[in-house]
Amino acid sequence: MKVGELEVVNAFFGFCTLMGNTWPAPLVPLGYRVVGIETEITSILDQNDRTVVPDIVCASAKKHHALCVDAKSSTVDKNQERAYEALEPRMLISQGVVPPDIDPSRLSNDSLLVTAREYSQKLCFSLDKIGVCLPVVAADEMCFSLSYGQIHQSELHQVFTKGIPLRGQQWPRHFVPFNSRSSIAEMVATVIRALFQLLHRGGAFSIEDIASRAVPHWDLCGRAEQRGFRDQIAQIL
Amino acid sequence: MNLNHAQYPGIDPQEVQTRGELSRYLDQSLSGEYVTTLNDDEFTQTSTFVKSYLVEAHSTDRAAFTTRLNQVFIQILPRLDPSLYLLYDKYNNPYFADIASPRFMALHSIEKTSDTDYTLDKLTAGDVPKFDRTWMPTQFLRGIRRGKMMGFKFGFERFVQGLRDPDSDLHLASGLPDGGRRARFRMAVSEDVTAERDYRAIQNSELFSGRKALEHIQFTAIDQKGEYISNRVYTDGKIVGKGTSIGSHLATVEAVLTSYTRLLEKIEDHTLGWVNKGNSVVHTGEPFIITFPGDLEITNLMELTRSIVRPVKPFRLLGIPHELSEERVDVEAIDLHTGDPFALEITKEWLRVYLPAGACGNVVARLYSNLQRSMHSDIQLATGDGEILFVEDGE
Repeated sequence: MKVGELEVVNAFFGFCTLMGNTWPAPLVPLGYRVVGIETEITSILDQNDRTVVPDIVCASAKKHHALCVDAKSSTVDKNQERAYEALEPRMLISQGVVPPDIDPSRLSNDSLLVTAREYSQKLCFSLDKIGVCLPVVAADEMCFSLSYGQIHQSELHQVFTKGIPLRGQQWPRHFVPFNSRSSIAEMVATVIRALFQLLHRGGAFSIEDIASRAVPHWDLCGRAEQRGFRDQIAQIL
Repeated sequence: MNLNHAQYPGIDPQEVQTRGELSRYLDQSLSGEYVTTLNDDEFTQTSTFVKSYLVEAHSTDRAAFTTRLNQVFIQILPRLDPSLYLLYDKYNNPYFADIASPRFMALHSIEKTSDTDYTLDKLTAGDVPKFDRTWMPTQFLRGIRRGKMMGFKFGFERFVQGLRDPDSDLHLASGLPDGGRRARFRMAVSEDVTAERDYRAIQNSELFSGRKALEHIQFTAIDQKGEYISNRVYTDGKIVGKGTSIGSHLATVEAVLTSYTRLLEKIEDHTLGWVNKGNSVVHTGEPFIITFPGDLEITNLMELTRSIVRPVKPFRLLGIPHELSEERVDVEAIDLHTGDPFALEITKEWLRVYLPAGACGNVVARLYSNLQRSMHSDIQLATGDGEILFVEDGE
């Protein structure tokens, strides 16, 4: 099983959601909830604005902490990784990324890169080379474990240092069934289902209507992501 | 012999305008005052059962609701009480629709069961949008009894495939035409004061293992004046009453309706979606987990999935199964009763149901109670935090 962007996003959704004993949820006792998908956050790097788009953002009112997770391959984008490193709590607060039940004065944050285990060594080496010290979690169908750096939130650090054991066939896939980079084959079933829903309801509808039904987090997507979805759906239709 | 229903000297349904009058109209059936004509001048007094059907109807938009009803009933007549309608089916049988609940309709009738069952099937088979039966699992049915349990019926029919029968080497897999060699099991105890004891004895024994799903339960409730009702409550929401107290029958209808509404609300409390918190959002909800018992052997997961995700009765689901491996099949599905989307993730040990916020929770009850009746009666439905939604009393 290949661990890509969507697998990482759905795994973290699962870590923050109780699902009986079908998937581990070590972030639930720490109070983490998912508060964003593909959220555009502006960071300031060398006195220039730089937007980062973490695949998933989790936050805990209990631990006064926010975690931005970005799924990576083996390559790094120097400015992007530095922008993640430069993210500060006040940016997350002012841009409405964390919910109001989190005390702004006590908020801390971490950015975490997650990659398939076979890429982790190369990614860590690349980060070292550009002088960025972001923690890296290596993932495969058996385990998520920290392979580089440190997560500042100590309990979260412990969770990933110890590793989260998994069983591949238990992997959740339907919190975020696809994103705008997914293949048409991955999207087609959900798009057809949305189309059927609209036909069942009757009346006129647009690609936007199909997209808003097919994509569970449509309202949270930035403009670029929405445009990507619309293009993919238009191709399917 | 042509048997027509007469209005004289029984209560003419057209005259029923209020709940009090409805109660008297239904009571004439219990008390044997209901009159039918055999010929123009020949009357006979009969006592029939009162039938009440609980139907999910979503009646808030009255215009849309009555338009949908029109697909099955030839006349829809509002009553003085705005939450009552008098309906006539194509055989000219009268029914009273009580829509005091915005979600459910209680449909009362004293006409022939064969006619009323047929009409209710037409209404809820899926051709008319938004109407659905209730789907009460075994533990729920047991929980709604009161007074003395007088009967029960186990009903099990293997209309899913891809399983190995635990009691034989017979593969209940492909090649068996629908209705052909499907395993069926029925066992009933009726009008018996030992029903409670018998039920518990069977439940606690190895007998009929995995096939002890209730199709109906019967109980008798008596008030302090000796007035009584004997109610038979079916898994699909049909409630048949006989006895002397129409008030007790209507109390049963109300109690079942209230409990079932609460159940659906509880299910819907766990649906998945994004909730606004100030300027931010938080994802809430969790998937439901249906766990298969250890003695249920799934031999072909894809075949099992295809037999569940079918647009016909009883599941009424449309979906595209996607086989990730022999151990995992996922489905993007649609509930054909409402058009609501949902997703299933199925393994040989469990099934996850992802129900999005705003979707009707009845699909979870339908899926679970039909799996209980067709797969194994001991399967369990739980929320993500491990709360088992249906637990039988005494366990």
